[in-house]
Amino acid sequence: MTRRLQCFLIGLTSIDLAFVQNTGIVAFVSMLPMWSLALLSPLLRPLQRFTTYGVVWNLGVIVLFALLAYHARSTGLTHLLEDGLLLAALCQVHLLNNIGPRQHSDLVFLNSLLIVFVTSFFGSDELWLVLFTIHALVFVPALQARVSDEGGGSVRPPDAGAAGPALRRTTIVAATTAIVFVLCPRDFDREGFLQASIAGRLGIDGGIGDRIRLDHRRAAALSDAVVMRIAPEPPARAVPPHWRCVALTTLENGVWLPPSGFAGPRIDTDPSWTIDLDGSYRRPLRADGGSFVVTIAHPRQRRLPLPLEACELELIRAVGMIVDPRPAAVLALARLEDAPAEPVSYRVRQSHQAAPHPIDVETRQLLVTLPPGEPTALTDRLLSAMPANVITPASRDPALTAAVAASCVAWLRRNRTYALPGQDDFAPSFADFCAGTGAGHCEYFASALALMLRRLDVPCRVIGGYLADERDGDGTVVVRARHAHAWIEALMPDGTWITLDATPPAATVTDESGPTSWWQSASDRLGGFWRGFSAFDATDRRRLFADILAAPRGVARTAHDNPLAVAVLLALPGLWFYLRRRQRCRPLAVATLLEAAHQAGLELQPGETPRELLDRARTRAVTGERIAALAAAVRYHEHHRYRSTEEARR
Amino acid sequence: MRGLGLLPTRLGCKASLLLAVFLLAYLALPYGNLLFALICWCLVLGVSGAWWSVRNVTGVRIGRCAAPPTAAGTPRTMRLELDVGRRRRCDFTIAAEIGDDWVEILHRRTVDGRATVDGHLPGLPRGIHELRRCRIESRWPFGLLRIRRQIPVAAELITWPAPSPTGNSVHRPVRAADRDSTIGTLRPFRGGDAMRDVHWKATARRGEPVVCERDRRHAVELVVDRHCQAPELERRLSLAAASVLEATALGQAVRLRSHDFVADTGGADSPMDLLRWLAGATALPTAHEARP
Repeated sequence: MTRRLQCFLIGLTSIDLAFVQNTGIVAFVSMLPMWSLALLSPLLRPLQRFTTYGVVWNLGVIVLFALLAYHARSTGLTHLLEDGLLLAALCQVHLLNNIGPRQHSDLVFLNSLLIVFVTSFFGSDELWLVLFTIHALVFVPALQARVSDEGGGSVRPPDAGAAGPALRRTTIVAATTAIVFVLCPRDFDREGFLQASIAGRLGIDGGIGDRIRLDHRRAAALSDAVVMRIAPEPPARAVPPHWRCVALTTLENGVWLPPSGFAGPRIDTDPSWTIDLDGSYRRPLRADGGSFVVTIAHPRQRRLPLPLEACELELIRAVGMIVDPRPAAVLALARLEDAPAEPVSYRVRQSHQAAPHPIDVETRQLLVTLPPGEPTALTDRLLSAMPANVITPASRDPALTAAVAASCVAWLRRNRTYALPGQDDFAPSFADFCAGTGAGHCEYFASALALMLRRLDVPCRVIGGYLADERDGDGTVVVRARHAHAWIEALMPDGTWITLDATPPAATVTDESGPTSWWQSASDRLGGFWRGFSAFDATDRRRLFADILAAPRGVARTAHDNPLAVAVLLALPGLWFYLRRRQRCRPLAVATLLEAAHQAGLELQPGETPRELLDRARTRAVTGERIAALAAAVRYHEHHRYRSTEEARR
Repeated sequence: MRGLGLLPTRLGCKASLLLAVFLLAYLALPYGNLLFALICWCLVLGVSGAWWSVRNVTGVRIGRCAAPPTAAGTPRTMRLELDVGRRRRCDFTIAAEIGDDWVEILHRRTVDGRATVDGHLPGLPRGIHELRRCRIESRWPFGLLRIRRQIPVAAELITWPAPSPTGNSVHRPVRAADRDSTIGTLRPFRGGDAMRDVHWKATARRGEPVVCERDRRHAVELVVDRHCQAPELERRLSLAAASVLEATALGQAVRLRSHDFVADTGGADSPMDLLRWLAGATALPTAHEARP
């Protein structure tokens, strides 16, 4: 293996380790041995001649495989993908350090592709995209280097480098892939022949479930897939930020559960939905808060997201769907067996203000009950940390109750940190989060706030839904799978529900009033591109085609307004082709000689031979690398021009 | 693209299997843009690699193809004039079809335009080998596919018998002594003349020493009897070749006779004509008619 190929393989392996590191399945310190073995592989290469070296490596892989198999057996299939990824990374390092006369480098490339493929399941983001770009820029030249080095060779031009052609090939492949990606017709809503539950276990979609588990610690798979689009209808402009899908009222063994529905006691906490003769759904509220058209893109969505003050629902398009009203003003969506996989759209009108709805004592008791044991202890610990003048039990004054609730929200936002499962600072358990020894996500914040308010005798429930805060260019709000969120709704003494969100705002919110750094703007652009790519669907493709079809008119308009600029732009490619063709007609040996002369600050005079040029360079005291390069170019030119059998053999 | 052969390499086969696994995962799981894009990337890489591989070998022409005659078992250099057109060709191998086998003769990293390249032929058995086809093979640029294309050529590889040491063996072909019966001219004796060149009868007649200058045109006469088995023929031809080379090196003329063939380097024939005949000589049935 030549040094060039070795460098490429080390680079490829390093990028693969970076992919694994980016998934967050293991800390950097734990992967430090792999990093060291990969980067120090040139120093370990002389040891390959010892049989013990290979035996030690093989034993190491076998031992790790056994450990991972034991781990998989004890934890089930939950961490199978993570364990397999770690094994693949170790195999990559093993291959890198054992390539020799018997071990080809084929598997290094294939294993690298496998690692890239598997890491795409682990909540890929724009950093994954950057790594993949670097990977592609190394992978293609490495393939070429492998072919060159394994083919042997004869005389090699002094300036022969694969970088230029490899970069060109990589660009061509990337551009072709982009075109195929855009143009290829496909079903964006295809479900796959595996059961959706299996897909959920693999962490493919981080959507809304029927319950919230407080012991769930698997790394979040934050998909950018578009779940729904919300278009406000004039005169409405502001879209409510919280769209509720499921209401959870009972905490049992660390799991928030919804009301039991038909099986358990019937709870009546909100004005109920009723169906009209025209098929629309209404609640006894005044529809004076604005109207929105919602389109659900995700076929597996089983609920109709609605704002808290929603009062009218009109189905625009719901082929094969049945709306099923649930407690707490939630509307579920049931799909008939032969229903086509089409988007569902509906119009929702909301009230400006929630209407009071009295609840009975039994229901109120359900909404303030804390299960005995640990939750009560956790809540007491939380409340004990708060200032004493804030902690007052609920009173009959709605304003006071709201103020107490707001204080709890503010305290949680100030004293607890946000992190996602799988990140380094994520709390090992909910108890640790309450104790302040770790960070937590929205479910932890919502659960902590719910426990605190219930301890203060404020009825509340945990809501699972989506946060609508990303606006499209035309004012439509785009809701993605990663916008899934949890918050609580608290019942005021006057019977109205208010929304309380204890999750701190994201730290990446930029201050638009001040200047942004180039790094920040580049990062924002990259993030926007990534979101656009990962959420690309049929709607985006139609929009793209419309833009492409409208492009000629735009170009014609631009040409009419700026004819000189357009003429220069059109002339540039022609000039480039002309220069390139002129350069290609020149033999490589001559081009090499002229380039070396140019580097030495000389020009080949008419009638001057290369030897005379070289002598002239020496008389002008050209030294160092430039004279060496010029001498090599002269030798190569002579070899190419006057080559003989003896010279070819040498 | 007549005569173009495509075969996946070992890496290509493994990559195909891996791609099949990716496709299976894509079909099994719900649709995802990233997974689709990754599969597109792999497919485009493979297809474009195949396209570049085909472009690397198409349009290559071999002009003059010449190899000097040489003895059996001796490697030689073959000179080929390549014309690859405007596109640079990278990492390709050229093999020549000799008999039923393909023999790799050269490997080049890069070639531009027209170039004269030297290939290395291994030692060949005795004979006149017709070279009608060459084959260019490449795995450039990604090593996923092996592309082969046959190129017609016209060349002759003359391989004369490996000369064996002549020595003083009784089995050597009949070789006339330097004392040929054909006398050229008579002249007076000069200092340095060999005594055996003295023509005694003429000396007796003239009364002074006279030497005869022999007709050196037929200094060596070789007669090869081809009524024998093949192994014996090879031995005889090897001896004859050694004699021809030795005589040529000494500046002597050689006449070679064998049944229906006569060639004389003292006349219009060159030593190469003799060697060429030796390269192509075949055995005659042993039950043939009279000896040469």
